[in-house]
Amino acid sequence: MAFLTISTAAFAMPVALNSVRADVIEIGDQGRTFNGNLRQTIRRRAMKWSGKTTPLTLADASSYEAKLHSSTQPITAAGDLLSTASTGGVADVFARIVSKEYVASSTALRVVLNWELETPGSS
Amino acid sequence: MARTVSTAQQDVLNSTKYEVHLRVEIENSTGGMVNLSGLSSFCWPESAAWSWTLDQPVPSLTVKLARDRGRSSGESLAPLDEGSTFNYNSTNGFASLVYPGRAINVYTAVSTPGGPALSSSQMDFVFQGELDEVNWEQSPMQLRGRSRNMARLADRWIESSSYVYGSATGDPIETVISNILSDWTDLSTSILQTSSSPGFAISPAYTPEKQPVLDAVTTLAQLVGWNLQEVWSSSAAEWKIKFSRPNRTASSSQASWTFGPQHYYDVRRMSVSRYDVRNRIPVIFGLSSARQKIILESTDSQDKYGIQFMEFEEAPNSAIGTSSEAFDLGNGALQDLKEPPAEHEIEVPYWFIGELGDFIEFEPNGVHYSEYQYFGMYSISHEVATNRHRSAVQVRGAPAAYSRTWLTFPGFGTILFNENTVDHTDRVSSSTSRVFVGDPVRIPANSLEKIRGTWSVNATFPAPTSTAFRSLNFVNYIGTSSGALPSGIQAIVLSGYSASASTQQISGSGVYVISAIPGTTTMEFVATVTYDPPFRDALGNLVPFTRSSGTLVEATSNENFIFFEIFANSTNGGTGTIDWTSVEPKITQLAVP
Repeated sequence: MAFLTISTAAFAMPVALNSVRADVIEIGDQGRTFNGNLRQTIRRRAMKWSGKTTPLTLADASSYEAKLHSSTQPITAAGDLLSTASTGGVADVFARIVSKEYVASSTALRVVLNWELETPGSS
Repeated sequence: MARTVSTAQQDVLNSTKYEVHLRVEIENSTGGMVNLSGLSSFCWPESAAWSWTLDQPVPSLTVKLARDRGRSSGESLAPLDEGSTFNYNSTNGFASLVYPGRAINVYTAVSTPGGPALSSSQMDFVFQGELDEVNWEQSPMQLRGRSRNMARLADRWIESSSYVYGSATGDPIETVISNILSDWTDLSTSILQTSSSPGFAISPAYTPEKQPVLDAVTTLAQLVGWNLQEVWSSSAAEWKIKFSRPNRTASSSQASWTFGPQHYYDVRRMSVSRYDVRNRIPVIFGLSSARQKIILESTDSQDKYGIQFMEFEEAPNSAIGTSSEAFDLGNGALQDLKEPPAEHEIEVPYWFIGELGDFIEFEPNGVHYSEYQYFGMYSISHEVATNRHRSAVQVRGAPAAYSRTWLTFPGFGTILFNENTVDHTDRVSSSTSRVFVGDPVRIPANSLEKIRGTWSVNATFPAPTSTAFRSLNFVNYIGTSSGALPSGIQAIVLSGYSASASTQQISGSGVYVISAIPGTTTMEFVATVTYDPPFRDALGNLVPFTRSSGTLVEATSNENFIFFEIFANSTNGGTGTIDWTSVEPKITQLAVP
């Protein structure tokens, strides 16, 4: 299985080595009360992954960006990355490109996309 | 009392862990409600925050929504996005789904963790709002609104000074409030919830000045030390405006909820100050010729905080006309203001059942107080977001009707004319042959400026029941007599008139006569009257005037007296009869010089 694909496995994301971070987002609230008790209203947890692509050509970068931004959100993501988070390897996620890094190579300009995938939550 | 909830819900709210669910609905262009929490199988609301405060009777709401589901997705709540399927009505006409003026309702539910999915009927209706503003420059877009019923009161005005409320014999205050709401808002006629009558009558009849409806009804409520508050009625299953007396003398056994240190996250505020203490409150009331003053005071409070003074001075024609009524007004303020309001604010997990005026018990926490404390709810605000489910509860002193609002009480009874939409029988004399255009009204010296200008007096008469009826007299008086009317017309220029009858004339000194042979048609009387009071003091203020030997002179009395009358003219052959009870004369101010 690919490490990460988006939109029904049609688009394999080239993920840079050691670039992925997974965060847990709690849906709800919690805190210590005045006497030290824990009170909480957390009812589920959402996941947020962030990472980078490998350096891409400008054309490939545009293609990935369009795929992530132009689709109706959330989109379907799958792959080994999601299998590590009790999602069964497939999840609906909100995807976005948060920044781009331009990298000069010996042959042409390349682009690294910084992306985020976040499973939906509700209040 | 706090909002009525089931024992199971109370247990959930007292537990250390529970779930909070949010649903937001918005009115579409055709009046239907759309659930934004499930629109197109997506939860659009990201947060909702709303609050109530005792001195700010219009609760506010802020909702944040995801603006769209990606560019070109065809699903966007941006009001001007014509590419969004949400912005079209059933006939494919463009109609923004989210737009100012639409209803927006907030529902929440609290439940035990891991319980079954909640149905719509298990959601509690916690805010009934209307949108005022939509900002969608960023996602999430931000919506601002206010509670629907109180916003209507704040936005709608008493737009005309041609309406009279109360009566000479006295109308119950709750009836007067209800009538004002009925006349000037489109709220349900059963919107006002009064569990018991304060037993206060509005007398004499009065004409409120043009003002927001909220100001008019709040002033009335203050007369008896009660307040008006929007609440959820479980029995009626709708939002009501509750007219009630705060339980100022609540005892510990009447606490509607108990908070202990195991319930709240933090104490945001714990302070006491004497800034807003008032413990000597004279109330001045009564007719100009018989002004009275009673003083409400608390010597206990004065001993502790010094004498803190404020005064209510009611107009001569105020509904506060007796010592008992003045006592209720002054005592309401005294009870709310005589003790410094200890201000205490805590932050708790989302706790939706609190209502303003609730009597809350606080267990000792070993830091801020070592004994049980009891306070009245002053303010409560809620925030339900993805990662924040909290309520801030602010309490102060005993349950009160108002706090700082008392310090700006405008008084009651600033009346210019008692205009004629009152019950006709109030104005028809015992001979049933005349009608007064306005009950005789006293104009205090400080209100004389208001009578300057041009006024239209208009009356439509039914066909007389006898053909012998031929003419009407129109008389108006202005002077300083509060008893016997001065004869003739003083300081008045009759600058125009007309009548739909065949002939008309003006004659006489001080008495204008309109001769009308009506046949079977109705008659219409229209006169334009200009008042320009002639005397001013050294500061330029108008002063009362009267007539002496045909000459206008400055009066010693501190008020003028204005009176209009239309009656059958016997001297000109007007001996016919007419159904005076169907005559509805009106007076309208046309221009101010």
